[in-house]
Amino acid sequence: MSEKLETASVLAFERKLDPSDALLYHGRWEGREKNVGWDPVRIREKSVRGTISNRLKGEKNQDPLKINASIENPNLQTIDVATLPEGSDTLKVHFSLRVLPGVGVPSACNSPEYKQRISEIVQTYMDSHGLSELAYRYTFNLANGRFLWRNRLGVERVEIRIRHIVEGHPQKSWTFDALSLSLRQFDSVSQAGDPLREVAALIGEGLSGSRHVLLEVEAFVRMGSGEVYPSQELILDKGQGKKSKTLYHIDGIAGIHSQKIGNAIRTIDTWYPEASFPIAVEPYGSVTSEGKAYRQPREKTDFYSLFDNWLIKDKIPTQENQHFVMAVLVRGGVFGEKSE
Amino acid sequence: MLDIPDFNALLVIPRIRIQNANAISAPLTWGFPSLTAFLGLMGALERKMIHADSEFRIAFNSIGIVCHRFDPQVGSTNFFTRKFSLTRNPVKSNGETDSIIEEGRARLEMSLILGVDAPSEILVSEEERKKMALRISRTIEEMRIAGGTVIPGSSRTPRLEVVDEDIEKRRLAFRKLRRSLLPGFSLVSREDLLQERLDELKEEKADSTPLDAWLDLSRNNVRAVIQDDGQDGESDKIATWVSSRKERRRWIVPIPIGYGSLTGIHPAGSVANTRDSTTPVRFVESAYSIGEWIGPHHLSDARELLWWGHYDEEHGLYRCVNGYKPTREDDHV
Amino acid sequence: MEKVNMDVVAGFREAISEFLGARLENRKKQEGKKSKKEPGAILEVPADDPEQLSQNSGDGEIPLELSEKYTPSVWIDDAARRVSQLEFATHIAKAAHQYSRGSSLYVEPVELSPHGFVGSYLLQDQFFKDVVGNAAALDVYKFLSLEFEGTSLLRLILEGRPEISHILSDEPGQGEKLARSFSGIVRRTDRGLASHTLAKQVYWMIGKDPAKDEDYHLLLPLFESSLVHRIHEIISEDLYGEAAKDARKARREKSFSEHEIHEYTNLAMRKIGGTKPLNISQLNSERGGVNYLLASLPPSWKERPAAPLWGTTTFFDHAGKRPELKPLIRALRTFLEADPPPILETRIRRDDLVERIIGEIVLYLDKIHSLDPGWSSDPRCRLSAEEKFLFDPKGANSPPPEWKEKIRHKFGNWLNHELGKILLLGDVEHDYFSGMLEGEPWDSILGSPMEKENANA
Repeated sequence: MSEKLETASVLAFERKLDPSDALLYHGRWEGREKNVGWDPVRIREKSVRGTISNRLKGEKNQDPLKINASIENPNLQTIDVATLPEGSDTLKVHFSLRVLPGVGVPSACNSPEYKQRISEIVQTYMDSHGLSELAYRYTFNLANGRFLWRNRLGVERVEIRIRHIVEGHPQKSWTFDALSLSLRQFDSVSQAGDPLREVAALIGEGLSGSRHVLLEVEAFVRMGSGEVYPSQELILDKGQGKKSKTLYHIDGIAGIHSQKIGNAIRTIDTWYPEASFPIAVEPYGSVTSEGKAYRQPREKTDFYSLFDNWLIKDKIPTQENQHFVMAVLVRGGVFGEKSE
Repeated sequence: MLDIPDFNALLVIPRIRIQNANAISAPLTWGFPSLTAFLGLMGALERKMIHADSEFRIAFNSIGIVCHRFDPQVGSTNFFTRKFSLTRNPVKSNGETDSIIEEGRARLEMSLILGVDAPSEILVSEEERKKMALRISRTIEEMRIAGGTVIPGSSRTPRLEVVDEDIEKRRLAFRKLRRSLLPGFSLVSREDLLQERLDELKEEKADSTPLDAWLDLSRNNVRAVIQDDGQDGESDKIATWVSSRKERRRWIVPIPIGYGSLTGIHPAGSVANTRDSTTPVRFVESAYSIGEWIGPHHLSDARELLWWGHYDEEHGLYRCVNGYKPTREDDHV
Repeated sequence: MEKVNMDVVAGFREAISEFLGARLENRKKQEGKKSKKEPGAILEVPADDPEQLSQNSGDGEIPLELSEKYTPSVWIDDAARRVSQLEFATHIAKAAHQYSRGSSLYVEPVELSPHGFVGSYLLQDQFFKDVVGNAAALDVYKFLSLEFEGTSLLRLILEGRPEISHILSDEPGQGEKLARSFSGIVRRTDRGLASHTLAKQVYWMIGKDPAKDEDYHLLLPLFESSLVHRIHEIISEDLYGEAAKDARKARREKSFSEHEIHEYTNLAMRKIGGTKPLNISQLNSERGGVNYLLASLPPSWKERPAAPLWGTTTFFDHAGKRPELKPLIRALRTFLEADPPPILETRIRRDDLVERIIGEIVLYLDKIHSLDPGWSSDPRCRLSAEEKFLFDPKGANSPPPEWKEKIRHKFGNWLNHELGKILLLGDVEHDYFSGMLEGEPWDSILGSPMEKENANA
């Protein structure tokens, strides 16, 4: 190949797994089969006592000058909460997932040679692996209910239903017992049952572009009662006396952001150095909640190093890192130059 | 060239729901995504159709927008302003949180109406029209619309409607169309108001500029009017505060209308890091005008609904043009 | 050779010496504070002082001879070296994305084409210059902005005025050299222009063939910082200015004020540059990173909710007085009263007006449907069954029999009545009007909320 090949200065890929926001409903576990009997989970405001920062000093209530804020007069705050109402024991989470064709085809690239080279390596990868490994792992993350985030913790049962929608109608559907599938690792494909394999094949076909694939995903979480967890809104610079926690809703129905769903689905990277659990596919292997990046440029295990080495220096990454690079292309994003 | 480009059919894609659409339409406006995003969608759609099938012969020339619902993802209002809800960005490789330039996002439900020029062999057969409408709308569903994505299963059956030569038939067809777009609001151009307001302002203040007129129309102006309570003495006068928005009683909004150029045209490839090296390049800024959200039942013709792109070489202006002509009843006098 | 105006020279030299004196004072004060404070305490320093910036970051030494550094000849020499880190701009690249390294541009408004819409050209010669580059060199920009008799030092430099060499230096020849360095703050060349992978780039079709590259221009939009700044000033004054506060107070007290109150409904505030707005640009920093955005939202019923129909027995009793319907009814009546000839145009106009009336009713329905369902079961609601269903369909279990026919009949009656104040209208007209309600409007009104409901389930 050409030795003069340089990284395209403008390079972008579109997201190939495109989930919708998830909507939250509540009802009874027995009613899973039915469409009726599921009402939206609503968000309500709740007043809470904030922590009193100036602790009472000295003897109890010995405060003639009233220096200390009294217990009767705490910092009142409002927060949003969402709970299953009386009579409901099950949370239903519903979203759709569009699988788009054209993995590895940039949506913007200003170097035709570079673009050509990308398509070469993508082809090589496809020829030797296909997209089956990635598709299998994405499927696994649907089937194990990872996208439920906190709503999956400490619950009795979780059932996932995936439907393949063709021309607006369900063509085929599969059911999974989510709690029987691990969040810590991916079972090998050979252990997987038919439903997992079938859905994986479908996602693989969607990504490789032989057919457009639309899936509808429903999760039923039997939790008894209690709090459920929609996404939290991130609003900077809130004014004084404003709500300290705002939950996401769509037309009054509690929801989980599409970004959050997407993040769970692409939590398939177990190929980073000294991996002990799957992390979301990100160019630097970054995990926001931990404030940590697991794929460091100095170790040449980040996307940019791997991709450049592969394309320009013809240094073929390990099979595992090839999966990672392809998964970043499925994730999409603006690359070009390193973003830092 | 300000005339509407030819169209002999309308492609109607009713009630698509879009999530994560870009609600910051320009450096000075937010709300419904920019018209330029929809013109961009139209161009990208045509290229995509041709790319998939070199025999594709339908030209997309203009686009109409009807909004049925709009839910911006904004946080609680503080005293004067609204803040955007954000999504958390991945941390940097050193584990630090990245500082963010805020992005505004919205969910919306809208109908798209495309003015198309199609070969007659497609238009004569109802079967062909149905198939074609479905094919195009499928492609749109896979595309980004104003940075957002289409929520699957949301749109209703798309239609490709022939625009009849006969005035009476055309009128009836349009009446049917606009009814089907209710309830909803279409965005039309009201650049006439910009000029009208400027003339009025100039009567009060001779050096008023279009910027003053634009801001004036973009906000609610409340002015004190003295009402004499009949008694003598200045101090007894009661002031009534009159609001311009109430007087106008129309959904007049500031909108980006396209781009004004900042430089000449740079030859293809002469500016570094552009998306290709085969297209001439130009630095531009947003240009702004006034639009109105109006019920489609107030429109009398498809061209009042449609927007198309125009390049004004003399002024280096790339603008979105719309064929709306206000009538007396629209002024709600 | 142009004559040197010694007044100008003296004026600027005084301004410079004041400027440096103030900076020195400020600096000394900080040193004093610093020694009193604990190590690591955050200092209140001008963010643009290069010395302070390096001190804050923990490296650099305390200068031994502070006052020497702030003598004009020393300071100006140093500034002339540092000016290359700065660039004037009216349009900046980084506002779109902090990592965007595309070119910013300096284009004076008068050079732009007056295209008639709103754009930076409207600023004419009254515009704010923005500065991009190394935040630590921004003191140089303040220096160049020093004014005497309304003219800035920079203007003198750019116009190549003879005074400048005398202002900048006592040494012959040195002043011109410094002036050349300072003039580099304005970029005057097209060479080296760049966009960036993170920058917005828009294809605009200028020809006919969407498949051909040459039929497009690739547009690179930049953030119009100077214009944004002007508008920021206006809005800030309208929101927080004293005159505005007084006027709002007068309004609350129903008293008079000359001042017009400007309300920016749904104004949004976007932050650019996070906690470090100076990293984006000088003006962005002056705005505190705040970018005001005017709302171009479509109508929303949430903001102007409908009132439930309490008390009245039929919507049509008061419909003719509704502000959105009144002018349409009047227009239709006036038109018909003029007895237009029975030709196609007349029919078109007539139907058009009736259509508009129906359209407004449909919008009203959409609005009242956004109320919480079930309001019509309140005892205060005295509507008939078919109207209850029409205005609160989700509050009813099933549609009452023949409700559509009944509504059509009422509509026909109502329009006949509204128009018939002068015209004599009968059954034929009634049937015609009610006939126009046949079919689609109901589907779009009642279809949509119901379908939505089902889709959610």
